[in-house]
Amino acid sequence: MSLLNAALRAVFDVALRPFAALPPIVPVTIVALVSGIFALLVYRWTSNQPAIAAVKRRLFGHLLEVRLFNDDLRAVLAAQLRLLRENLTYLRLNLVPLLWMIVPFMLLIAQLQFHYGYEGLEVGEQTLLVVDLAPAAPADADGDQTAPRPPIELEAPAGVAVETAGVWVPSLRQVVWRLRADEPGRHELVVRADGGAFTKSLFVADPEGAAQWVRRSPTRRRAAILDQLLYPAEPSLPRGGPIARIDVQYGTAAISFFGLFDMHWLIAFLILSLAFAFALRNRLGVTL
Amino acid sequence: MKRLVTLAATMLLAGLAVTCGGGGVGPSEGPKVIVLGFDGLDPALTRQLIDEGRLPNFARLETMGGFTELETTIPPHSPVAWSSFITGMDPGGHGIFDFLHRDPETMIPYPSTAAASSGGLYLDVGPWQFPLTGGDYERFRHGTPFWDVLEEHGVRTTVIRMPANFPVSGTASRELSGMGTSDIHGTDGTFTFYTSELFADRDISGGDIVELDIYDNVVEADLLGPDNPLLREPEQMTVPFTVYLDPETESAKIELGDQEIVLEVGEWSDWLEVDFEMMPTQHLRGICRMYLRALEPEFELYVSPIDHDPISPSAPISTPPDFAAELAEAVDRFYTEGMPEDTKTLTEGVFTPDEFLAQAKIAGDEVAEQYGYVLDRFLEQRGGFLFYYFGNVDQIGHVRWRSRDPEHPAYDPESDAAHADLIPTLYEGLDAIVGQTLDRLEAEAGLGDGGADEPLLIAMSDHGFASWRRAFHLNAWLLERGYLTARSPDPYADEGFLLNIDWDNTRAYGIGFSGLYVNLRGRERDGTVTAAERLDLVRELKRELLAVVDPKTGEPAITEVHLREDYAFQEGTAIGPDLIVGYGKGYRGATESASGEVAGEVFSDNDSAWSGDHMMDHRLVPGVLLLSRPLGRPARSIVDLPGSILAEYGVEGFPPLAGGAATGSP
Repeated sequence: MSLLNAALRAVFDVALRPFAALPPIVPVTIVALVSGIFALLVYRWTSNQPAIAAVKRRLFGHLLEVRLFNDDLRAVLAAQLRLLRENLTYLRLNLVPLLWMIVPFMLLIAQLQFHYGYEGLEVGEQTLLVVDLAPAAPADADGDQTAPRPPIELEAPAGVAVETAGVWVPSLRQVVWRLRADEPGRHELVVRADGGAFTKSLFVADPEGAAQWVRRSPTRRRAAILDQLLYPAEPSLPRGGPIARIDVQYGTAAISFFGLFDMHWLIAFLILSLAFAFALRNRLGVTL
Repeated sequence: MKRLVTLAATMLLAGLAVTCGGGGVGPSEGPKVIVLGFDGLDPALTRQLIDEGRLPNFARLETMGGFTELETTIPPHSPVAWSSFITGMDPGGHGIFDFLHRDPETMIPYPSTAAASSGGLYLDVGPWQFPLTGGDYERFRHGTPFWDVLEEHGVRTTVIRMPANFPVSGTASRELSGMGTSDIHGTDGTFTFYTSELFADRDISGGDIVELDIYDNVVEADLLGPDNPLLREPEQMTVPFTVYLDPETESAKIELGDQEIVLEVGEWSDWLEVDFEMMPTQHLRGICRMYLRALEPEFELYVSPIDHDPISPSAPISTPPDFAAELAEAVDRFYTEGMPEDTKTLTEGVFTPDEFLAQAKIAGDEVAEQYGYVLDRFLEQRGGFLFYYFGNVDQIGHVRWRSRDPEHPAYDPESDAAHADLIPTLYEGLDAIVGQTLDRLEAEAGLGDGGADEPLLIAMSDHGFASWRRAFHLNAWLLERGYLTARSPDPYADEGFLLNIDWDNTRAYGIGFSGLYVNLRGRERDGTVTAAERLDLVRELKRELLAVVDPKTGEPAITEVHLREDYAFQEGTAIGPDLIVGYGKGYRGATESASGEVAGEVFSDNDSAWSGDHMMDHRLVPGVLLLSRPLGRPARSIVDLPGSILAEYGVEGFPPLAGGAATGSP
């Protein structure tokens, strides 16, 4: 999984780099178009197209039945039951292509989220670096409010100022620093704990620079399968290490939907990819 | 496929064009006129600092167009004077006479400029009540704002933080309300001070003190909101927050909703969003700042008054309604309450002077930073009128004036001497604003080129400032002289708000800082004085008041008494006082008497931090008028000034009636 994530990061960084200076709706539209075509092809190859066409014909027939025999309550009720049954059949027939699509789309969405889902820090802006320590031994378990401060240190590169000492919250097993972004760029913070050094990236947007929409990672987590799937923007933290996760606060981004309104990029992506898929289904010979 | 590609390309181009494009600015007629409203700028101190070379840009203005005193209103209170500036009428016309008025039918005092009204009709469903008619804010000022007339003549107007303009008039092109704008509680600003100190809870003005407990270095508390208006039984809305204390590093992590911040002791937070849930689909949104004052020996956290969130305000604070959000997005969120400098923290002993000044600086910096954005936008347009208000000097002057007055009874050589230069330094800040404006007007709008539409910069104040050393308790004096009877002579039993008055045996009473009312039969709920007796009583009171001498100093406490009949405009006098009391040098009406208390001494030393004031004889506290070129129609008084501004655009005859005689007492 780590290798796959590393490869996907590289692919998406390269593929989206030309669009980094453009409004995000541009790459989102292009990716939605490609995704719509990809989804149609997968659908055509993995679904039972004759069965889907047949069930749609039957659905249409039952709808006509309701319309034609609307003065016959028994006939209408029977048609409704058949409509329900055919709907369930239609959903079952869609399940197979959906299962084929779910993994690639999850990987795609997870990658895009870290390009378009978060605002970059601006120069002068503050953020928090939150380090969650791994659960302690039972004697020092979560909820022990008097647990001593662990030996943990933060090193920040030039361009990032550490404004406060680390606040130790025993009940959360958490150390929190307040940072200030002083210079644009991708910075690497280093957290030293238990003899190890763990890095965390911090992206500060360049007010003069063109490339604003690049990968930024709000969280780095341990190598659990689900976390690796959902948070692939940085390599995972080691499983047995002292740190469970390191978070940096970025604001949630909203992108302009062709100047009409602002929305989360995922909503725009879903609208556009569905629109493209419906527009292209006949041309690609797909029955949806 | 070709059509689809064309469609996709069109969408992309549209996205690019709309995202990258900018908005246009419409036309506006006439010259550019900018009025910088510096509340409380005193002409004597301004003169002194110009002469000392500390206000080079004020000196530039004086050279260009002159520096004169600007006569203020009777009484010289900010909402009164600014209402006169807005309408061109004296208080008899616009109907704002003080900070407080009273309803003669109920004898209940209320804020003079605006009040919130709840929806009239409700649909009751279980514990809920759903308003069928909307609640609203009512503005009590009469008359036509001068910018209405400008807009009618095609002049685009921008009016920022005009006092006594809440809710906003809705008639300027761009408008943000100022003094008089409430916080989310509907008050002038109610802060909350959380402390772990035992028995710290006490009644204070302008804030709440909340005692709380600390368990294992964790504090759990609630932000206090207003009552939920959708519940039939009043229930205060709250938002929980948690503070994790780290005494070792003298810092804390604070969680409020999904927001997390870290503060060290002595630090202020940025604006935090506060979301009060009225019901699952209905929310009241506000903003606040936090100040972590101490962790040990006691935990102390100040939370500012919760203001309307300018991003989604729940009150009419701007025109167009999204202009407040535009300002917030362009600069940052900001204090939306009318008087953001939290002076009550100082007068109630919650903050040290330095802490108060840090808070006031935050508020002042916001206003100054926002001015840069507003000025940029204003200079983009042709012509137009801009008013921008700065209140920092006034509010800080009120609570720090004594640092300039070693004779003040509360002067503390140790703490006050260190701030002796504070107010001149604030004046220098305003001078920088003037310099910024002059430079921009010269560079971008042709200031000084002598053209037909040469822009005009006016720097003005509504009144000046003076030391307030001695307090005169008007109601106590009325009590002593037999004009008023108290239910209880015990000052500790007096709840204020006129509740301690025996109305059946009272002929006159005071409410507000200058208002003296006759208990008139047919007007007041329990009136005792007939209409025929009224004028004789008024004249008798005036004669006696002007003869009042402070036994401690031997000086006259009152040097001016104005009758309501003396106003040039009369249509708004019905709600006003029968007499307006103007205090002599060093004197002001006592705060207790202003809020309707009766019992107590007639005179007392002013031992409060609130040591500077202007609510006195209006001749002692004139305002300032500085011009970049002489006015075509000179203005002697603040009442004249809007007419003069309109004349710059060729509009004559404002206000409709012949006024401009708000000053001068018989």
